[in-house]
Amino acid sequence: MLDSFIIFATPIFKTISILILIVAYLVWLERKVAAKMQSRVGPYNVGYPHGWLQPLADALKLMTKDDAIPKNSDSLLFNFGPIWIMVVSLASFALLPFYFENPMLNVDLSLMLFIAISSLIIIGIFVAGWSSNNKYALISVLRMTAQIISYEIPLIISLLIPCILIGSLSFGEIIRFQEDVWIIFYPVLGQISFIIFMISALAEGNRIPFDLSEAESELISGYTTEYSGINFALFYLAEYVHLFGICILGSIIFFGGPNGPIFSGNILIVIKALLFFTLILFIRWSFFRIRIDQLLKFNWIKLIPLSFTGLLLACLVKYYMDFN
Amino acid sequence: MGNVNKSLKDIGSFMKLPGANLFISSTKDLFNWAQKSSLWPLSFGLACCAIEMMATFSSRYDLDRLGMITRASPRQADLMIVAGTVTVKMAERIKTLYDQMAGPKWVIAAGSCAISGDHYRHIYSVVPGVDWVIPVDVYVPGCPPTPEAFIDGILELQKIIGKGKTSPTYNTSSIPEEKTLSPLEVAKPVKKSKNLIESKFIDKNEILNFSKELKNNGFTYLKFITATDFDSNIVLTYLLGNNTRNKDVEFNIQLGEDLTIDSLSDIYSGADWQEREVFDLFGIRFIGHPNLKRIMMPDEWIGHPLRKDYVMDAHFYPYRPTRKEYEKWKTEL
Repeated sequence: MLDSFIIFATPIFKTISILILIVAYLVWLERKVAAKMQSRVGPYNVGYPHGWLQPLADALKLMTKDDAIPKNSDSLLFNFGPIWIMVVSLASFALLPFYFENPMLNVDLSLMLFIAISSLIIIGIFVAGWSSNNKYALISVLRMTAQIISYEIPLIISLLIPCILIGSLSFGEIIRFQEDVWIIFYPVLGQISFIIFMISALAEGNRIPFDLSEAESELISGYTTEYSGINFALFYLAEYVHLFGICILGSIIFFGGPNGPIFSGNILIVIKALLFFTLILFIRWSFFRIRIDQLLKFNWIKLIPLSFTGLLLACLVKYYMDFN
Repeated sequence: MGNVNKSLKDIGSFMKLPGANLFISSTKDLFNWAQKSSLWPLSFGLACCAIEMMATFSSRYDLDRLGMITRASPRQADLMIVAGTVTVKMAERIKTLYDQMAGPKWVIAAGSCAISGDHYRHIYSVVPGVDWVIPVDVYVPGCPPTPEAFIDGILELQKIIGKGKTSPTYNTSSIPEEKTLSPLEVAKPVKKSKNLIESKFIDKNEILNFSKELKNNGFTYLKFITATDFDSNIVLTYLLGNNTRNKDVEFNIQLGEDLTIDSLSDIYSGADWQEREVFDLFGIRFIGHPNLKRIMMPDEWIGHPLRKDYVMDAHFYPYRPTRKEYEKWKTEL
């Protein structure tokens, strides 16, 4: 009984601890990149070489802070929101082959399952914003729900284009196909689907130019306005875990996962995901925020027709390749 | 490894054992270190000191080096930097924001206005120092303080937090002494502009006919309405302009015991706000005004601040904390 429990629990524990460590230093990386882009230094004094203890200090400080629960809020749902988001964003990592050779959950439809699990995050966010009993949080989650539901369509279709070309939805098959050529180098279709994926990933990860739910000038700090202490830390962490999950997904689907020109190995997935994350950081710190109506109009009028055209093209290519 | 040791020495101490170094820290020290290393300030500013504060946050001085990033929501902020003059209207908001911040929390009063009110100290609308409203940990002097002074104040606060002192220093001993200001000088006759063609006193019953006649003669622009309190009586001053001929007309009205006068808002719609201002600051009632209520002071304000009989410094007594409030703050922090 105990042995089977240990066998079951060890990979989960290892994955989660490595993941939290990586994500804590993603925040540090973000602050450093932002500082470089604004000719600043960034975290420096906390921990001698370049503020390496900063994530630890932030986490410990958030633990010692009071956990303020607003008087008129629904305290059960208020505490449920951050836990749900954290659990869901960690659960989606069961499908990604990033630390162990094989993912913990190896199924045929792993890509679809990943998308399905990670789209459950919006429930936690909506519950958090609704139960706060705060107008800014409410407006923020209404915007965010509209945004995430709309951008899920181009995200899924942009991931379907490589899957149709490969002919499988499992990560194992996708990685095996890319031993010869990465999807990003597939003529026309690879580039189209990557651009659509990139834009929708920014919207899904709630990053600038699509971080409308956290527009400070209008909405204080969005759905986390009423959260303090450890609950806020969970939100903060879960947001970066989710974003890192999307980065790993991008590195597997478009950049060949563990396949590299010189050597191959799972460490390459993480390196590629970090490079992808840095690209997102460059976009975040050089663009402005757009309006909510522009956001939705851009999605429904430009992005979705483009992604459906790409899908149709991929079907035709697959048809002629298979029958000639 | 040497560098790592250096950075860990802030948190705890190393113990030499045969064959190994043991790192020891108490949770109290660890948490104090964490709190001082990641002070997140609430992003708001009140006046010109805030500009200097923004400069401290940006490229050249960069408070992110010390681990400080601004938070828009008070729930996530640890530090409130009160940068600028605290007016009575704003004092309530500052108190609300301070109460909304989740503890442990600290306050820096930056600039001479936030410390003591400085040269706005005796103005009817200014609180003489933010420590009348909330407890302050560190005072940063300057008008406005330079970024170096800001950083110095923050380092001072970090020392306080590192020692584990959380009880606020609260200004009770030095209650500002009451000063009797010299009476304001009676307004001297200023040099009249070349464009002014007329300046005279009229009877207060003539005002409607007089201004109607002026309006028919092209004086369509009401420049301002103001009043002066000469202790024995209050004098209202109107300035009308003729924009086609570039000429002005000024007329004054002496009010006796009865502080009421006909409103000009039907003739000049610009008189609406001007009359509200005069009502707010001098308490003159305008008959026929569509919406005569306070425009500058809060609605629940008592008295009219620019009147001679208005008691100086009376306004901030509501903000002097009671003994009970003070004890409550002390136990909370």
